Amino acid sequence: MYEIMLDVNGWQGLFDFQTGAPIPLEGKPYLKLSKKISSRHPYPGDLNPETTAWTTDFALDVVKEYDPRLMLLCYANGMITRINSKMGAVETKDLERELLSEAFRFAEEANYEPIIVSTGDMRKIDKVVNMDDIEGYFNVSSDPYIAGIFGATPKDYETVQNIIGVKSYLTKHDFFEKYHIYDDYAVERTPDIILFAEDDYAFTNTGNRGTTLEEIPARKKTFKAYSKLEGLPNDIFKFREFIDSHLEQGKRIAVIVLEGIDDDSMPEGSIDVNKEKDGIFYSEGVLFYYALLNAKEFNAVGMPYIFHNPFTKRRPDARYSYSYIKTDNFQDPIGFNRDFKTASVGTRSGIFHSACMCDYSFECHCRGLAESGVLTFINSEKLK
Amino acid sequence: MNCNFCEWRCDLSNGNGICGRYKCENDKVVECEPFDWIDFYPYTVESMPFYHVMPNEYVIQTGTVSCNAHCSYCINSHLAIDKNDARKLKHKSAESLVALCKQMDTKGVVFAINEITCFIPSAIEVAKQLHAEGLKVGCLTNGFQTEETARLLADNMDFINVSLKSLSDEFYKKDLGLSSVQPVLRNIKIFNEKTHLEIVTPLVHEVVNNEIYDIMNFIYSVNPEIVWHLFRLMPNYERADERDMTHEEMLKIYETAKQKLPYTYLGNFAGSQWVDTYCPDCGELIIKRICTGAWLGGTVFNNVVDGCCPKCGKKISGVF
Repeated sequence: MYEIMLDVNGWQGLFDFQTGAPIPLEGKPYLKLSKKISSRHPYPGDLNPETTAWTTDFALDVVKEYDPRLMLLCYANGMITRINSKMGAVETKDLERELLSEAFRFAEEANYEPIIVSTGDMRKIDKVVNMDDIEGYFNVSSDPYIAGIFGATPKDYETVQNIIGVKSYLTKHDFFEKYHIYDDYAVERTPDIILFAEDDYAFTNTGNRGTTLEEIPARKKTFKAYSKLEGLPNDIFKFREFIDSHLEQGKRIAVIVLEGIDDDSMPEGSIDVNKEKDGIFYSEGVLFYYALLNAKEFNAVGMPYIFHNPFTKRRPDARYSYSYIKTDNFQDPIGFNRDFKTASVGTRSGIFHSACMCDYSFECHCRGLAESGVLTFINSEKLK
Repeated sequence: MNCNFCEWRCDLSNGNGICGRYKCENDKVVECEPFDWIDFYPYTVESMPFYHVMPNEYVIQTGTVSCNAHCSYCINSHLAIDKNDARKLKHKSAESLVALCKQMDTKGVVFAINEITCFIPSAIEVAKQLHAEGLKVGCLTNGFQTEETARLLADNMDFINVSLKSLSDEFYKKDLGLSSVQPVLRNIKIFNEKTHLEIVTPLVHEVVNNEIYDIMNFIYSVNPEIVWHLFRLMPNYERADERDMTHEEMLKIYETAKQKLPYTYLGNFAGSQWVDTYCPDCGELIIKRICTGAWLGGTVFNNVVDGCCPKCGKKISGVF
């Protein structure tokens, strides 16, 4: 059994990872650490400038109390801020500088060999694909260049042929054929029509209550990575092997993801890393983290998957309600059941702990910018 | 000519009123942009929140922009208060919204993004067409309508959630930009008579300190079986720097209120364990919920049978 601990305004609750059912918090020595650290670091909020330093301070506290050999950090607030705030060039550069300096502060103070990666360039939205004529429910995927239509009507199949800014589209059937998708979970979450935008266009979502996106990940095949460790790979799917090979040598490794930092702001000596495969760009969110940390493509069984499909009805036996995991197949998360200590701290809520599943995986609990507090995944099987 | 949809009763002869959503045309008050929506998407009814309405079902959530109030802690200020000319409303006729509901296998529509009083004619037309198809419709509101609008809503909405933020005129003036709470109290009574009513109260420090139990007593006086949501407020907008309410403070209110109002819930944060429904008569756990995020969650099980407790047969208020 694994557990989820929540810390909300000083209240702490423990939940079964699989069922989400509350379980007693008392009598578990391994919770002493998560209780203590969570309560010391209330989450400032996704758009709060203090969140960058919060991640570092939280992670340093984890190192002080637990001293993991593999430490995973993600500073998602960079991208989240750039997506949701109007920022000038100077402000953006300041944000990027702070992200980088916090990454190095952590690595230096905690004495880790850092692997620092960005998620790639961001850009302003110039042209938005106009989906007003669609009758079904239009929904953007994890990638703003891919969208889908659920409940498509016969007219929708005709309409999509002439939408300006749509480069191509696939029916559900063709999508399954192309990407070899067979499992029920994916079938349930795949729209009837899948649309791909032209590179200079983007889809913007429904379901965002009228918020306006300021920036999105650029349509670029590479992101930057920096490390002094030998053999830094040039493909996102080779990182897991690279990290594991250095862990096998007994090194203390910190993988630090800086979301929302452009290529030209990464340290000198950074290399280009390919993040595109078969027309899918692993640029952000669940796609990025499962590819980078676990070498998993979007169509891997269970997770990751490209469409979150918010209306998929809650099943009576719904599982992993606090996580981006939908089946018992955990997809070999990088920090899970290793024979050394692992921990993660991040601000990509829901996704990061699901991709890491460390002994302790700490992150903010935030949905749609509305924060609840701090969530911790705890590998209680290993720690008890 | 005056607009009589809300208690401001704005004169539209020289503009579009406080909400900016109405105009005078051919001696009639009409919407500036009828059937234009900021968004429409499937959502769980629990997340609105409606806890005694079609558990675990999805509805299309929609709304427009603007508001007739100006709350200092608005969680939707980007569309309720901020003037953003860049945002684009999407036109969808009542027929199309009804068709979308059916295509997506949802149970109806809830007007939940902004104040329904800003688009009454469109909302009523959608409601009528939904009912003609056997679907349901509900709304969230601040309750600051005129009596005639309140009666119109009560007649056309299957369920309504009123945000009762205080009992103080002073608080309504200073923190909400509304002239008085009295119309809200009157309308709560109207809604209670004719439709399923839930009330949400954001837990703001001065309200908690001064009058939260007065609010509880008011609700009790209207109907002890009204559903009351104690809403953990994450301070926002002009109160973004304010500290959150502590859990102990919120729990104390919940436990006190639960003694008087059996359908009291404490939510809007992940992990809340104060969101289940127990039969007021026999104490049976009849609806078990999970709260996985600020607004997110669902029903784990719903044992209500034909609107009644399965153990003792008590009628449970709601739309089941």
